[in-house]
Amino acid sequence: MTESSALVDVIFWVGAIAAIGASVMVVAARDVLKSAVFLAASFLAVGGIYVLLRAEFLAAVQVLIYVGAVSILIIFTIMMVRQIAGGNRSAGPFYVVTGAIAATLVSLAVIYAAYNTDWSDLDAAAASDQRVEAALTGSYASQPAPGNPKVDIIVAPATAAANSHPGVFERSTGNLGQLFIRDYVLAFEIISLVLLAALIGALVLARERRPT
Amino acid sequence: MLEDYFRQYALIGIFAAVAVLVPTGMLLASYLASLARIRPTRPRPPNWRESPPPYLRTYESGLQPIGGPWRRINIRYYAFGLLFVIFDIETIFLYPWAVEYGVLSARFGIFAFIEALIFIGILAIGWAYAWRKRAMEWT
Amino acid sequence: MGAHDLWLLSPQLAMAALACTALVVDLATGRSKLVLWLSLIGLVIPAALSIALWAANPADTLVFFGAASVDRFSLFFTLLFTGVAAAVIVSAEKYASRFQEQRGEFVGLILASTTGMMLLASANELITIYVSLELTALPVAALLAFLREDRSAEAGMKFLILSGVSSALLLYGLVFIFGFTGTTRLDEIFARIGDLQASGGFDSTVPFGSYGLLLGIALAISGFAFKLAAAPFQMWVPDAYEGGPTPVVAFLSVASKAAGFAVVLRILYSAFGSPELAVEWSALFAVLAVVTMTLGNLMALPQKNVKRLLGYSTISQAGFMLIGLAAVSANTSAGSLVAGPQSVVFYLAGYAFTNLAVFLGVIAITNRTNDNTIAGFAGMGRRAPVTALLLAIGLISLLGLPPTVGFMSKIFVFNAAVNSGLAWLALAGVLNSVISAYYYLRVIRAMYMEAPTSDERITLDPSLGVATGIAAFGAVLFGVAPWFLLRAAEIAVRSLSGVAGS
Repeated sequence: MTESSALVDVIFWVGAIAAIGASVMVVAARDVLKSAVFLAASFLAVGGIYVLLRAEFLAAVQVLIYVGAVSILIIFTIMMVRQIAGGNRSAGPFYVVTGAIAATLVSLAVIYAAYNTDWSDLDAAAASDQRVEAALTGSYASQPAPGNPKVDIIVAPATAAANSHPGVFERSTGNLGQLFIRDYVLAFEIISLVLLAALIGALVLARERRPT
Repeated sequence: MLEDYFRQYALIGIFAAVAVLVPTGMLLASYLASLARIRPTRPRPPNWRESPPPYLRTYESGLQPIGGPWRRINIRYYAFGLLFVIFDIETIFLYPWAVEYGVLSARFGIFAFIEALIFIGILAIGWAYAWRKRAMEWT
Repeated sequence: MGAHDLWLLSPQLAMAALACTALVVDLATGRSKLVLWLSLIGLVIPAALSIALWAANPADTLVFFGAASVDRFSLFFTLLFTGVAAAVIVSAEKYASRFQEQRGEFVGLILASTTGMMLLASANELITIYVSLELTALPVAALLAFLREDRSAEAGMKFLILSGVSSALLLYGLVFIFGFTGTTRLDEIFARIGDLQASGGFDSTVPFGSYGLLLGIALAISGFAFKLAAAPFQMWVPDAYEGGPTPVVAFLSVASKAAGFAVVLRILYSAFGSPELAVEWSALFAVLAVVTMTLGNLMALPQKNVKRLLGYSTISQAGFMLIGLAAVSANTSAGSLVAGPQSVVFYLAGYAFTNLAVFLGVIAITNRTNDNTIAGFAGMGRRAPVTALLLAIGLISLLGLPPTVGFMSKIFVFNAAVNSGLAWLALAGVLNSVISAYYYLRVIRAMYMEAPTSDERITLDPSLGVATGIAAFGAVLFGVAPWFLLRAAEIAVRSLSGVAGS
């Protein structure tokens, strides 16, 4: 664990600095097209961090959708508007200063909160994974929630077993497939409606702009 | 287990490193050559963007490029790009379901199939819409 | 999961099916009038299912593995959204001729957005909440840009970008909440926070007991503030209202706001309803309420465009509703815990009738005059007597004078605030009501005291007239006899877990 965790640290910092640097360049680049390319680079670096966090599926989504599709769409849009393509833009010093101050304050708040919070730890995450496993095999129990007797919560049968193996991190794609059909089946189906609405809305607007 | 996981990604890392190093190395070599006066340096005339001298033109496998690179592209590319993104996302969401289908169908029976069918069915309306409204045609 | 889940969620599922059917029928026949009337008749199904479920009042409300909770609170809003969608579709019958060939899409997108709102009102889990919110917002962004005008495109663009920013804030906040509690279900978050409080996991010197939770809740509330058109996320409202098609703006101001308040109420009470946390967010909403209503009112004063005026008006109305959200603290006996959310729910229902009367009246008049300035409404008391009367009733209700529902709404909200020891907040609300009289009465004065610019009479279309009449009748009926609606709001709120149970 130790020698590879040093390597993991190095990779994390490379990825994090690349993501932040590319994001800064998105804002700082004078050419919008360059901003778009830096945005793609930033997406890629974040995808690398997802790999480190062992969210392989998310990393694949990041590369396929954000780097592969969304960035292309952004570049298409830039190319459609002649005035922007190749042109310059500049933000006034007021926006640069207020933006920088706001970004710094938000980052500091997030960092401070991240370090000073007792986050729900790995055990809890693994236990919730255990809950899914248990639920799938039909061996979970429910009990009234403390403080709210109207609501039943589902309890994991054995948290000790959950601690022994970090189940969430193995086969993350397969686990996601199970969650899509169980806990998040409703959200899964709503997503198709969201995509349908987005498709129709966007096509209506794209057609509307076409000179007829 | 941890090592196995990162070992497979180390291959991707090596591949990425080579992919980055080769072109940057070429550019660097060219730059160093110009410093050492092995490579001739050519100046950029003031209007090089509009009418570039041959040595500044975009290299397109030896053919003369027609028109500048900053041509305004057709909005139809956008409609196609958009359709691509939407159905790309659809595919991505079906991927975990497809990977796990063997387990899911054993545990949930026909419901595992119906769930994805509803998902695809709703998006099929969008597909029919795009077809019917001629968003997929280039005329 | 099984038939029971499907039965409980049937209003939402029927609405989703209706949206798909509308689109398919439009594609197959291309007759948008048919789509319009078919959808209108089809809206009876989700409405009937909502009423049937309200009557059945199932004991086990959690469906789809806890992703949604179909209690009477959600059913109250389901019914409300169905009614608003019907009114908006009726109002678009004549107006939609401006959409040219895209009337079918108009109906489909309105129904899709309504589905999102209905799901939002019953969502009991963070991811479902987020996805439903996107389903609510995306169609509206497209609909705002439906007119072939630059202002309309600008309205859609502003809405889309700010909606994206607020979604990002919300999502970031939800991530912190998940990271702190380790679950996405609201009831489990409540339980987990209870555990942590019992085991001393909360630091009493930090607001919300922990910096992570503080940041999470603050970011989530910022994200929702956009939906509610509350300060400081109100800047998109005037432009979107001025540029967008009027029926869509009516939908946005009534249904979208109600959906936002429904989900905020559920999250606040079902997940963060413990008294220690309630004190914290109550103070936050008290400040937001004062800022929102004052800002909306002051900005509304110099407006000359009626739609822009209504945009600022909707901001200040959101401020009044926020008073009801703030009214929980100080005295957490069961009675006052119900009074705050009950007044918000009552206000939202009354506001739906009131604002629909106003917007439908504006649509009826501007359909003919095509002039959105206040000056364009001059002499409408003579040119369009019935429409002007209905519009005036709506405006009086927005202002909050008896015998309208607006008066009752404000009374209940202020009453809840005073009972929770927030008398200063109620006082600020009363002062703001007085200020708002200036701009609401200006429109009424233009209609009745100023000379008309032309003598052409403006007749009211039968379908639009019926819809406007129902809205205005509701605004007066629930002002004279609010008890039925008040009782329904109380039943709805009591079914919300975390309100009456603790």
